[in-house]
Amino acid sequence: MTPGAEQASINAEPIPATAGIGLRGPYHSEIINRRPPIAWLEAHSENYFAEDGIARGALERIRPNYPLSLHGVGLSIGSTDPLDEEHLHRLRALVDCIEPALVSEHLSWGAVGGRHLNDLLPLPYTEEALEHMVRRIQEVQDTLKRPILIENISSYLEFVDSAIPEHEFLVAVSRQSGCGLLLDINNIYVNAVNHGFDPLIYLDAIPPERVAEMHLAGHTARRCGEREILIDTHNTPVSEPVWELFRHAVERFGPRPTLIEWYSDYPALERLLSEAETAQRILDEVHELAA
Amino acid sequence: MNSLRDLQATCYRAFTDDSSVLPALVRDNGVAPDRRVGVYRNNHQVIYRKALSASYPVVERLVGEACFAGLAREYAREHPSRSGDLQRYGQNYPAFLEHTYGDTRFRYLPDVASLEWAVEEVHLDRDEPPLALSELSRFNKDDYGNLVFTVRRAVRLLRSRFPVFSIWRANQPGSNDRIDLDRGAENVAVTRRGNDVEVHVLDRAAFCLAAELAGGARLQDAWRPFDRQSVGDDAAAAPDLAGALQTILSLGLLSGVTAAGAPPANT
Repeated sequence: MTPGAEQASINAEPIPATAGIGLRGPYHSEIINRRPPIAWLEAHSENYFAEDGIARGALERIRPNYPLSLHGVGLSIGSTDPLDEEHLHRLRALVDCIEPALVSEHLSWGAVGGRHLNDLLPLPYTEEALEHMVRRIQEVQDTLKRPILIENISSYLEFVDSAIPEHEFLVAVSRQSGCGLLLDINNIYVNAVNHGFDPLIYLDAIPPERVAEMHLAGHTARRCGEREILIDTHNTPVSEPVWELFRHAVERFGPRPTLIEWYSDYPALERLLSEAETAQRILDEVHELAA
Repeated sequence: MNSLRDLQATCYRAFTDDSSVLPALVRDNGVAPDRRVGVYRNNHQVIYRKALSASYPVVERLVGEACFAGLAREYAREHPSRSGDLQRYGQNYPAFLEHTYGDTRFRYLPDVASLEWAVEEVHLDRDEPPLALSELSRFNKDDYGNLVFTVRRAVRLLRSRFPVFSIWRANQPGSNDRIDLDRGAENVAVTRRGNDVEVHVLDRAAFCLAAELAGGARLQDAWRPFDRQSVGDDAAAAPDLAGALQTILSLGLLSGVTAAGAPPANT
């Protein structure tokens, strides 16, 4: 294939303000061979870092047929260690190859002293952490030569030192760094239950113009003494309270690209697509009411 | 107030080692801080168990989930993750199992793990087209002894004292075959065919020839150990160089060929 032809094969469309699904290895063959109608796909960047690996080959075959977003889980932007240059270099190489419509990462940290926890860990919401996060997002954006989206995470603890509510911290990060926001509606609900705040106050504090994408996923309740903590497990259907919160978010922000995430105990692709249909129905209903 | 760096170092310690250091820095909000820290400690174990399970499903099936989880905890302590990308996290696991089981009746486990890691690596490797048999026609037959082959990058050769291929195959999803561990050694080649990873058991001649060629030996030198061994053997039972080379080529283990010290015949 000539370089020109390769370029032309990239699907240059932006991510539509419709419901897509997370792309995972078990679905590669079906999506390549059957080309099911899916509005858009989001791939975890790290799964496709090996540039000659089988997974990258599959992504390159899928890419021309669907709008695609890259979502990173391992850059550890909030860590006080220097940014991992090799990781960032590999991300940039993937972005250059795949030309995704959106690139996103998390409001989190995951490594210290060169040792990784490979988890999305909460920051203390302090002025120091805010400055750090803004500086690091700018470094990433400078390297990738494009703005990224930052996603709010699920958390199971808050630090005594936190002086800024999470939603204010998130908006400040976005305004000061120039990044867009990827609002995970399930994560807002999980945190509201785990830390005892009103998720509607959170949503209503987010300026619509900063929201570029939304995520939806399932969670699992785990008993912790007298109370339950909600764990962001990504292996169940979206819960009813999260659907309700999503409806409120769509009313406030308008239609946005919305992703169904389901990342373990994989169901059949049809099950995932039926979750996307439910999200699409809400996007359509709110749009019709607003019209 | 703790600096961000100090807080992250304390979290690392609390999630991996000493859970007592963090709760004083965590809000209650209706759930005891030590229980909140406990969620992350549990996540830590689950993340690395799942990462190993994805790479080593056969080892997990052989030792059972509980034992596998215990081994995963031990491995995480000995080999803390050094990357935000978990794809290479399990690379030291075969050596870890060798250390753990090398002197026990489960000493076949490290070889099974090596086979599973070879499959992982071949999934991630750069690949190139396999060498076609017809490529040999570029050379004079008199020069065959001087041929030097390149083994495909997406190939791993694994020598084992155990029937490692049979064990691996019998523990694929849906299989319930029983394996006699005394059935003898099996040497294995792992390679790619299109988007699939293939595992093949090689006879001794084909495996040794492939291993010698992978080391850069000329064809005549690669075969010499066999020629020496076959002196005095029944000629009919002597290893067959052409057959071994044919096997290696048909499995697509080679990617290139040159003649050492002689230009190609027709170029």
